[in-house]
Amino acid sequence: MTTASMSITTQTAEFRAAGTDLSERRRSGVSQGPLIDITARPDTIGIDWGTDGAARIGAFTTISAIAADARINAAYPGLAAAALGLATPQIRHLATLGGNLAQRSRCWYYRNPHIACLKKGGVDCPARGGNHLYSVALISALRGPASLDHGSGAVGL
Amino acid sequence: MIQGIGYALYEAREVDPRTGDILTAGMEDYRIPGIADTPSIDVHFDEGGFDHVLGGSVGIGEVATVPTSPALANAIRNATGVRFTEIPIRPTA
Repeated sequence: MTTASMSITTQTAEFRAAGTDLSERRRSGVSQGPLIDITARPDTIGIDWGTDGAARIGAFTTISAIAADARINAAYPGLAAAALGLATPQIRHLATLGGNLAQRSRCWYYRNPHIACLKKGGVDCPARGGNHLYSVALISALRGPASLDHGSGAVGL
Repeated sequence: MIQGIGYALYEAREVDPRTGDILTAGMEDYRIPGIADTPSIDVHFDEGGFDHVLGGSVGIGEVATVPTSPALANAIRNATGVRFTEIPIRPTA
């Protein structure tokens, strides 16, 4: 844990909750640093409703739980539809909302273990002048490149 | 025929324009039809006309796959008035 804690300060460690995305990046070699497993506190699982009718969804709530929640379907049908369209039933059953929001870029340059990029210790962002069929490269001077999947046809059916 | 739908609407090998690195390196990016992309399909077997083939048997793989993409292109032309001559035909094309 000491090593992992030190690695957080150098930004080489990654947190693992359900690990549905991280496992694939470990296999491909894109993620190689130390891992820190995090487990759910009870107050981070489930959906609370405020008096104003707004939902507060815990970070460890699974995607399938969000998709199946009747009140979410009524109040936030877009959210429910997005949750139901994500990945596959097996992944939705494990994957958490926090992991979905915090997952690494879907950029196919970043995810290709044979291509160097700023997010993997490389010196430039090949996505900037590259192929953007399914995404757009956003370059921030402070935070580096981010690639947003614009999602056409990306929903697993 | 589902494979032909993939040819027509989804499948494309994308490369980096400078290095030639393959970018569609997995099934997330090399897209193929899923269940919800696949309509119900009526299949007609033309059982005659193969007497000249030794044994009377013919292959069905390419025969079913290849014509599907031009059939879809024709359907898109019929529906929209736009003639696409390259595949895959995407909403952004």
